[in-house]
Amino acid sequence: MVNAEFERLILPHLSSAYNLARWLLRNEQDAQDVVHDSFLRAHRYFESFSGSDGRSWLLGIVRNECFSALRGSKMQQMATDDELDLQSSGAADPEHALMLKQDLQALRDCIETLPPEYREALILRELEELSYKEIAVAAGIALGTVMSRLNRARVRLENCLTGKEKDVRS
Amino acid sequence: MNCSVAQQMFGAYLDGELDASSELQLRLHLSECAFCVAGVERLRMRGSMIRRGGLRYGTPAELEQRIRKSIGTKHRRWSNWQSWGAAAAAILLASGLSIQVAQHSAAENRVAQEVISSHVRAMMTGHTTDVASTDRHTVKPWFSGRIDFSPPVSNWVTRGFPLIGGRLDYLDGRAVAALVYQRRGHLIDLFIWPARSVDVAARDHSWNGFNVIRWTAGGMSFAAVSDLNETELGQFRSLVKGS
Repeated sequence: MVNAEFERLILPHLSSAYNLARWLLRNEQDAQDVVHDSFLRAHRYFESFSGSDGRSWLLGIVRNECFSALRGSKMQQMATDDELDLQSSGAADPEHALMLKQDLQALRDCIETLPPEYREALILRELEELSYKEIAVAAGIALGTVMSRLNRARVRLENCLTGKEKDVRS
Repeated sequence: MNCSVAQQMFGAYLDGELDASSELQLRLHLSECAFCVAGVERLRMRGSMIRRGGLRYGTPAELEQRIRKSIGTKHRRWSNWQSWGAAAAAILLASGLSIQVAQHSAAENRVAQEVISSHVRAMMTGHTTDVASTDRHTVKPWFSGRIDFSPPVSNWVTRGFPLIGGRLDYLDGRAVAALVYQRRGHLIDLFIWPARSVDVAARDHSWNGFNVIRWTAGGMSFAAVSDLNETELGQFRSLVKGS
């Protein structure tokens, strides 16, 4: 039996939960299973949730489940291209569209190679738009750690991307 | 402040997370250091690239049902969105309330203004929905008997645009349906009414951080308003048009 507060505060964040899990676990089936189990857990422990930031609380559960799964290391191989929700960025011509697609592919590959703690910080900040404070709550780390993980994630990402851009030009 | 200290702060600076004194010191350094200015710019462009779109994974359609089945969710009425209203009111008081509207027709301007006013008013009072439900089978029939047409209602929770409810509203002299959606922390009001000839040429507007997009389809006129960015609001429009 689910109460209205769970419906209001937790369920709307399903897509954020899935996006985070998908990026951390790197394949769809594992992400689905972990998100499903996370929602069950969140529902079971909903009494212990207080306040109004359901998103950070839920994402905290999801990321803990993901990191447990990663340590268990029974994860599938990396994913294929098709499920990436490639939304059109409004490229006018085919050549521009191809460049965007290559950019996206390079970005995706580079983000996937980040260590999971750095990847987590980057996804939560850039794609889910959490504040540093919210990231700290979700990941269970100090604010300073959020900043240093984000910095390191961004430096590694930049190195990876400029490496690829050099390859393209040569 | 030297460059290596400054570099540690670029990210937090662009994310708006630096405390006032650190930001001041960084700005001072940037006013004297072209090298660091370029560094900030590179980081800003990378951020734009990442957020441009296409990296966020779409949720598989069956996952929501699987979860609902497991936890036995029932749809209920929600209470008013009080915390949202307070935040919206604070933003508006800080930014002032003067409206600057571009040169379009007077009637179209008026509709755009009314759309924005209604959206802002709903957020300030916390009264965003008369019927609060994520279930379109609850929201759609609610309008019957209250309004003289049947609005199309869909829920896109797996695409990251959950329906949170609906309400009656009044725009440009007629009763309209308002469907309320959420995207992360942003509210979207989608106004729907039977299309009139004047609606076909309606254009998009922006005012003070709010975006209004307009279109007609299937004999209905649509206006979506939110402080969500134009790219994602455009994605929302594609979803509505596609359904």
